[in-house]
Amino acid sequence: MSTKTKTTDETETHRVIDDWVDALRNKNADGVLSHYAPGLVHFSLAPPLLSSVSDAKGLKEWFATWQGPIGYEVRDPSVTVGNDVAFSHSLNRMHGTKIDGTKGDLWFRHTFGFQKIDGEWKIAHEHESVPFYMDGSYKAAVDLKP
Amino acid sequence: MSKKNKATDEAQIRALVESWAKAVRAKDMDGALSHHARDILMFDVPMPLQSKGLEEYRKTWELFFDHTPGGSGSFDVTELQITAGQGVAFAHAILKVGESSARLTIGLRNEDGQWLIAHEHHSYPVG
Repeated sequence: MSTKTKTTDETETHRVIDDWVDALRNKNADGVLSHYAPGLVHFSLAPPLLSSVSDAKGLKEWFATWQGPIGYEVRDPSVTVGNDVAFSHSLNRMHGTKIDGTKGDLWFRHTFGFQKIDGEWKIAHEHESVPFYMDGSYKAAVDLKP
Repeated sequence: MSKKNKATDEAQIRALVESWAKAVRAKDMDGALSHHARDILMFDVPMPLQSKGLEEYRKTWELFFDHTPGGSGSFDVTELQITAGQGVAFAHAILKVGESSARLTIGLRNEDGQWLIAHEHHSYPVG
């Protein structure tokens, strides 16, 4: 693979991540879903803070539980790109106010698996998680900051 | 890439993952680290948020080896699905750790004909 192609593919996968995040922030369900490959395998965090749905109806219902736009930040995404398969990892933050007034603010670990399908990079796999405390409580660590 | 190459890459990665899991079950640290890139980025089940590089990755296994009984059924990779391209691949699976099931994602890159694990993400869902 040429260096030029690799640079282009890196740029394109970063652009997919940026577009997907913009769609999430703006509660654009079709925009979010347009980046997923058929047969997406999603290891999600449980709702209510993060959505586990990957269909338009479920996403719209989940978006409706938030007041205004959703805060979403991707910290230092690292993308490893081949000619037709890529993966990325990053620390992501989601924050905002739910319609019942509760505030949500969560940092979590995020991994994407990408596949190039008909010349376009699509998200074929997504994995979101938080670690667990090993202090005997085994509680999910939902109060971390990188 | 030809279908034959793709099948070969998938077979190599499957063998690598099985060999890694076998080393973990045997609490064989050298075996558990032998297929990894020096700059591996690990998201593990226990804290911390992330572990950067092979030395920090080693510490995640020191912790696990302290807690696991090892042996049959202590760390089994099931439902492994591999997506291999030229130079880069990812895989996901369900990890059976004793009675519990964790989610596993692996990112790999090929260096001089050898597949190396450059990213791992192990987790349980919350709630």
